Amino acid sequence: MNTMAFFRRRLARTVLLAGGIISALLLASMLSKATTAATLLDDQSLEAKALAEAYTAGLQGKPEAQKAVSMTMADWLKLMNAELGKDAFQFGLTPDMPVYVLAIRGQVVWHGPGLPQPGQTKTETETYDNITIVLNARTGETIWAGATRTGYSMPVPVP
Amino acid sequence: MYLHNLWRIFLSTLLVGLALSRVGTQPNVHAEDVFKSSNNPAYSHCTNCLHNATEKRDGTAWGVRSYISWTDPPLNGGAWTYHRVAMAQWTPWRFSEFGWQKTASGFRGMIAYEAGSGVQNVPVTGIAATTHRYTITYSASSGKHLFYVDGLHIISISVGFTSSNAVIGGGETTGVEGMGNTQLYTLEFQASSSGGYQAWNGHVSYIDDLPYYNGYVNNNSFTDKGP
Repeated sequence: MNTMAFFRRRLARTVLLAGGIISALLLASMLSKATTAATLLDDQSLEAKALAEAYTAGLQGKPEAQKAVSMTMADWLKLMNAELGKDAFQFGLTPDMPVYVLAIRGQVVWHGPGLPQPGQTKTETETYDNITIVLNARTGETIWAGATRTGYSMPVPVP
Repeated sequence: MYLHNLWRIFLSTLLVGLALSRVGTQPNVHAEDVFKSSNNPAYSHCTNCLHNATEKRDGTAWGVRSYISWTDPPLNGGAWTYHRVAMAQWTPWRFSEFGWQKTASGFRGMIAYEAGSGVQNVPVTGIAATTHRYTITYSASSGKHLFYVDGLHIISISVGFTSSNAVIGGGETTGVEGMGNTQLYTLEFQASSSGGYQAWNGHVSYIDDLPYYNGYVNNNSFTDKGP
């Protein structure tokens, strides 16, 4: 009887210890991810997300060339002759927000939102030789996508 | 009995830990996977074209605004459905527009404009998926178009024109997505740069790509329909 009670106590300790260790490891993993989210996503993840957005917007095939740069939201908006409104912070937009810019050379059949010109038919989508995607470098959310017509400079030039 | 309780505690702790570990995680996104997963159903219309169902009001305008209902239309395997109000200059061609877009990831605000050098899209996250009033107005002091949702100023952008020749509203899809009877209502515009807003009091078809179209509600309201 005493042997059985001893065995039960040891088993109980082992089970509780194992449960505690596993939960601690899971919690540590969760906290690590939360810390990373508060900082910046790695370049590989940002590039994959930016490329996915570029394909959705109309990039065809593989990019011919590309250039990735990091800057603040304010710097990007300056390039686009834009500025945040006084209530932008309520939507998570601040001038010091880090952004990831992926400028791509490649064939683009525009497939993002826009407005057709008078008389333009649904099959007449505009084509470009470049596309630029800008992501929130902390969350990976897209904050800008655009293409530049021949004769105009890309915001971040790619040869 | 004692052992059974211990196992319950162990398993509960493990499950709670597992559940917590999933909070905040995001799936890895690979461009090729997104590209290849475009599995559009075969409809009898062009499944890879941008389709519009739009109404317009001709006349000089310095601003435009409208409530746009959130209807959560089905994507039917397509990419996105977009519902907005816009200002357009005919020559040279320029536009600015603001509304909501539903993608595979869900709802987001979407500004689009053409300042002469190419189309630009500016997604706006942090807007709740519900009905909102979307506003665009020209600011003479900054020379930019200002974009508001429910009166909150989000961003100002130089869009290459000041006043517009027409105000426009309606839906756009990539080909197979629903428009969900989304309603644009209390359609208003600014007749002068410093003036208040006044009702459209009438609208006519601008560009409609079948099977998408607009349903008439009244002179200051219509719905985006189809397919």
